[in-house]
Amino acid sequence: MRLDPIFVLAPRPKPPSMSTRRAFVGMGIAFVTGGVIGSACGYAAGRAGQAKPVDASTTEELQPTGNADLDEVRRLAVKAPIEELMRVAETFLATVSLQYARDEVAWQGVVRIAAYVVEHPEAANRARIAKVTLQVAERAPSIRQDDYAVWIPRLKGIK
Amino acid sequence: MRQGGRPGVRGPTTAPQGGTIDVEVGTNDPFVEVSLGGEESTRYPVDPAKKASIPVPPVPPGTLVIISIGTGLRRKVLLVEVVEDD
Repeated sequence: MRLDPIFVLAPRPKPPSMSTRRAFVGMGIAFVTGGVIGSACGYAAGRAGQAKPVDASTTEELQPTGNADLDEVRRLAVKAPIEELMRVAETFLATVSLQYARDEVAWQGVVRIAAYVVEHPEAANRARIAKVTLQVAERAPSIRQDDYAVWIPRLKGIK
Repeated sequence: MRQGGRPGVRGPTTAPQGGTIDVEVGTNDPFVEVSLGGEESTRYPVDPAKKASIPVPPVPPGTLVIISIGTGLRRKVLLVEVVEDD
């Protein structure tokens, strides 16, 4: 009896497209680059999202105006705890837009409300307050428009 | 229809485009003030039965109509969202 060898064709092994070392280095670079970009974006978003700090000079110079109602609006705007301001947000927004649209201090309260609803998903009536804040901001006197430019797209994103 | 508002002014929370917003006023204010968030507002009289009828402003659906009575921080506010007419 005779044994004949049989040869079976196997697929040619595929050479790796990149050496293991190059792949490791590439992944390392991608990881570091991603980390740097992520940190930069996170920092920028965090800075943009921060409530505009109340100017200390403004609060110190919060002198009586002779109008007790305006004084109270101004106090809420820059001195009152945010929780107190949010409790009367609808009234505050209507009052500032209709009566005190030219008062710079009062408008700081609108910025605080915008910042709060953007940064606090748990805020009560968030979508509704965001929408009315957006309308007030979009119709703000032109001199105030720059204060809200950063907030408008973020308020629009709240559903 | 669902009603909203604080004591002082009560009415629907939504209103159709081209419709009317009927509100009840719980104070002796002679008019309600209607705005869209800007400085401009329109006043509508309150009738002796303490009701006011407000035409829905020509605005896109989703817009809030701000209806209020009083002044300053004693102001009572009702927000009504304009919705598409069915």
